[in-house]
Amino acid sequence: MKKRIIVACGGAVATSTVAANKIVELCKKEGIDVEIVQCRVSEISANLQNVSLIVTTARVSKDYGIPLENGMAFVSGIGMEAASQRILAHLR
Amino acid sequence: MLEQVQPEYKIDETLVKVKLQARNWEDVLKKMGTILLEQGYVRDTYIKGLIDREKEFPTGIATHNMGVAIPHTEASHVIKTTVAVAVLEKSVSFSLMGSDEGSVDVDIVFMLAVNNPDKHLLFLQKLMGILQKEEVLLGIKNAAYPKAIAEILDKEF
Repeated sequence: MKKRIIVACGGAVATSTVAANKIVELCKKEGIDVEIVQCRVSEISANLQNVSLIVTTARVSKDYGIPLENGMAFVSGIGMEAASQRILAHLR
Repeated sequence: MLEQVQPEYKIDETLVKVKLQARNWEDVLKKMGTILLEQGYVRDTYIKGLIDREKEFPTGIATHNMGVAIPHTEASHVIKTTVAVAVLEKSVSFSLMGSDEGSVDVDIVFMLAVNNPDKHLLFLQKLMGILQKEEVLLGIKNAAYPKAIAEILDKEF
């Protein structure tokens, strides 16, 4: 069953593009079927149907009732392994 | 294996500055944004877009060995995809991306102008990859002149 993940960033869709790509690769390696919804943080509420996880590279103050992980590690390269494990744990 | 550097990704030396003087992050964005505007890469709404975005969603990143910033804004403000690079004469504080508080003293600023994130995924990935390479960042920081930085970056692309 496909897992739907939102990957969001502050606005220009630049960092979420990079994070989304890394997440797709990560899930492929683990054999997890994912569908990525890439959007701005301001658009998260509009895209919540069937979403298992939200990954964001920008700060988010709202609680959407769905697990949320910080994706900055995929951009800065620091803590990528830990972030990858946390994200996979939500999807398995 | 000989890899062709895509002409559109070749670093434009006129967009690279060393010893850039700036009072604060807003000054950095204005100075670098003006260069992009003058060289025809962005529209006149770009600088305001940068500043508005930086206020709400800051772009400071603390890498392993130094502070960098990757200011950018909506694709609609961009005419042609490129990156402007500046090594700051004196560190300037930027707020941290993705966190509620905290800031970082930034030495290198990579100002992105991307008019189509999906089409330029490889470009973005290579750029983000650079943030994870300590020696590359150090080389950029210690470069004596823009050409040296352009050469370092061209190798990465």
